[in-house]
Amino acid sequence: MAVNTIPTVVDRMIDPNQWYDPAMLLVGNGALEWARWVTKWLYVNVPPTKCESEDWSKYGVITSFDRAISFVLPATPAAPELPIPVEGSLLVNNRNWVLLSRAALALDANGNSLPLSLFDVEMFVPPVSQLIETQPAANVFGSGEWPHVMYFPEEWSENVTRTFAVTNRSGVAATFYMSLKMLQVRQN
Amino acid sequence: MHKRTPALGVPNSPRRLWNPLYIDNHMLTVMVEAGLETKYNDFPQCDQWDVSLDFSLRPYETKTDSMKCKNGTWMQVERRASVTLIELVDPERSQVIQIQKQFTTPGLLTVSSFIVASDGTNEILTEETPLPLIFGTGEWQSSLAPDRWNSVDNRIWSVTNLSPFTVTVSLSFHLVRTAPLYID
Repeated sequence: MAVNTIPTVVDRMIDPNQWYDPAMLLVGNGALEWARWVTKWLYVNVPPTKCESEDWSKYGVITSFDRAISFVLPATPAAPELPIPVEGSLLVNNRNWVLLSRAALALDANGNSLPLSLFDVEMFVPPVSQLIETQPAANVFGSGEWPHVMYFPEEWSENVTRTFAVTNRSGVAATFYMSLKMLQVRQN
Repeated sequence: MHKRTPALGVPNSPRRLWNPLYIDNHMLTVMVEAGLETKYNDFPQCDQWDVSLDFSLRPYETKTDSMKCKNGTWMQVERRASVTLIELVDPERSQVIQIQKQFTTPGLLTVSSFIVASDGTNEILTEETPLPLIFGTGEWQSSLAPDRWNSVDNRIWSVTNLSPFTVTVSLSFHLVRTAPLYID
């Protein structure tokens, strides 16, 4: 199991003269303060030390990424056996991320879409923090057409592993896909 | 001189119904991305494009296609896809005709995208995922953050057909860009 390292502490004081990526005005509530903060959050560990904020963009570009996690789920066992959760994990790399939305899709063996309410999900950061309590996926994940948009973009610290567990209550073997839309600085 | 369009649109135009902050920030971003200075009180004219990549895929086939940004800075704001199936029918038992139908199991199509960086390495931007999670299925899926295709990116999309049918996939992108004919 991956061991979570202590994330870099990012100073939350914002210099009003700090450069911000203007595209970040379209994320969150459109406030300058937010755009400056999220720019600073995403560029942690990217530019060299003592680099002026105006030069940050020379070392990377804030880019949208679609992260994918899939779970192969056996058919629900007959009573009195209980279905067993299947786990999968996502490790944040050595840069900070921001989560914008999440969506899920469950398919049977023939590719037919299954209702998300038939699958329970749980998400936790080992060893203790449970960030999504076990509940139907429909309540916390949207579909491809209507993703679950985070109330405000969620900060994901570098080098932290999040573990997801999915329980199949549909009665048939299925594959469960998660799609997470993230922002991250791309350096190449 | 190319006439500039006010950022909020001409009076009584549909664009005036948009959230002014939203469209202003759109144009500010596109303008800054294009390297234009913000000293102008008027924003440059921006086009909105609908571009598409089309794939005809046999069963279990993978194809790639790319769209190279040109003529200024693009910003992708929305994306959607359609998947159709060519079905051969013979209603009169005398002539086989082709009809096109919406494919009912689009989850069997997977997509991924990457760009080739300046050092020659591939940077995966969309990990392989069922198509409906990235594009919806005919309905618009707004991008929540501008997916910027700057002037040097060559975005490559790959589509894999995991179904036993021959299908046609169309990926559509709604883009905002500075007009290439902008002349100061």
